[in-house]
Amino acid sequence: MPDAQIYQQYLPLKVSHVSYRVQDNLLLDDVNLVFNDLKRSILLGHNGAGKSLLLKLLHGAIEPTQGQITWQQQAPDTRQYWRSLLLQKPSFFTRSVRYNIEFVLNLAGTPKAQQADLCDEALNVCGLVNIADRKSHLLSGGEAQKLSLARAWVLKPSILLMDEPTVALDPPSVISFENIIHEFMQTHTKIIMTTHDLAQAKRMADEIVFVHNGHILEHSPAEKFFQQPQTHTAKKFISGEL
Amino acid sequence: MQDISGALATALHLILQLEPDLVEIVALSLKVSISAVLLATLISIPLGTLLGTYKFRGHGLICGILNTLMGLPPVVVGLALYLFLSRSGPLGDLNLLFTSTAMIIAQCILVTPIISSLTQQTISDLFEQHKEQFKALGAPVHHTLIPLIWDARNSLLTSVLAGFGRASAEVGAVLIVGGNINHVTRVMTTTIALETSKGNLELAMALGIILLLISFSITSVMILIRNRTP
Repeated sequence: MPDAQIYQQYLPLKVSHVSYRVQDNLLLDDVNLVFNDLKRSILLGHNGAGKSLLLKLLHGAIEPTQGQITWQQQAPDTRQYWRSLLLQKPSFFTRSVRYNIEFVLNLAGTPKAQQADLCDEALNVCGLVNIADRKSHLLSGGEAQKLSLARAWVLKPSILLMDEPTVALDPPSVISFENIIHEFMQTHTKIIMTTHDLAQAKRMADEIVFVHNGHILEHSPAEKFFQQPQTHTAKKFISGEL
Repeated sequence: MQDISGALATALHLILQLEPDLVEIVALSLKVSISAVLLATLISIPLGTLLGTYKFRGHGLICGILNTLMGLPPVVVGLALYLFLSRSGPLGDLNLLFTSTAMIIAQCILVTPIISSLTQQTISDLFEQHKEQFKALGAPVHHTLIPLIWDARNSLLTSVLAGFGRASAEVGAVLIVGGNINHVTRVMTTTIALETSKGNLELAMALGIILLLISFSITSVMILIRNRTP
């Protein structure tokens, strides 16, 4: 889908005065953000900063206790398959890799006649062709994340949200995963991803949203963020002192 | 010790001879228990799955009642069913009292809470594991039920086995609603009770051994099926 069309249909994504509270704990405090282009946006910050929570709010998996999130003026709904969310620890049915991909095609109401081709394409792009019939509980961590990506790929999402998808992977698996993300980029998919890994953020980000203790401290182009961070906390985070 | 060896010899003799009366009793026992468990399974798997995945007003109460009913005293079920099915009872016109159908209903009532509760717990645990993923995928609960049941099939088979154990070992309810009528409603457990009361301990023990063997065989076959399922 061309950039302009995605922009017209789904962007801008606006986060207005969003807070999230669990009992007395304020986990996100008055977050304001706008994503209005196809740049790869990386939510960067420590564990517990509120990145994953923000990502799930953007997806619609949870609702803010205060404030508003809108995709092109509409509130998120998890049954909008133009948007996919990859979890840090994905779960699968204990059936074949192929079955798990076909499950999401059925969810999206894809006609049976098209399912085999779409499934084969996703297996191919994500390097799962040789293990298409393997049971999901026999997959390695890297293969599981590839299956998670394949499950997203078949739905041809315009927006791909990822919650620290490579946190438990070894370096070759991380590179392999990032290569598949580049395939998504080729199809003009907007990427929003959380990470606490500075090296990965430098490799992948076009823009950085720096999250700290439930607040957005910076939202700037990646180059500017890494060379001239605007806040003291971001400086310490980049230098590894935080 | 002599009693046990005598009972074993009698049991072997009865089995090898395939005595028609014994075969009839064993066949009726299997028919009643298997029918009751199948019926209970048809009710319990959907019921337990719905209770394991959907939360609604009164959900906790229903689960609590089902858990309590797991320990239903068979004689109480037998008595209640007797009152319903007796000529003056609300279902008297059906003429089911002292028939094998009444025995199937009684065992079904005893077994359904067991399979339902165990199914509910199994599916609920599995659903919790996938809950976040289902939300991320935008999967409505009803789309996930069949795959969840398939993933839980081994645990569910164990629940059905527990139900079969309860049904095949049950005496009180089938005795009351069946009446232990020779060639009509006499099953292994009621025969054992009758032969014991008559002092025919050898035959009673022999039947007990046959009952154990049947129970063991059915359980073994189901475990084999479970282990062979990919």
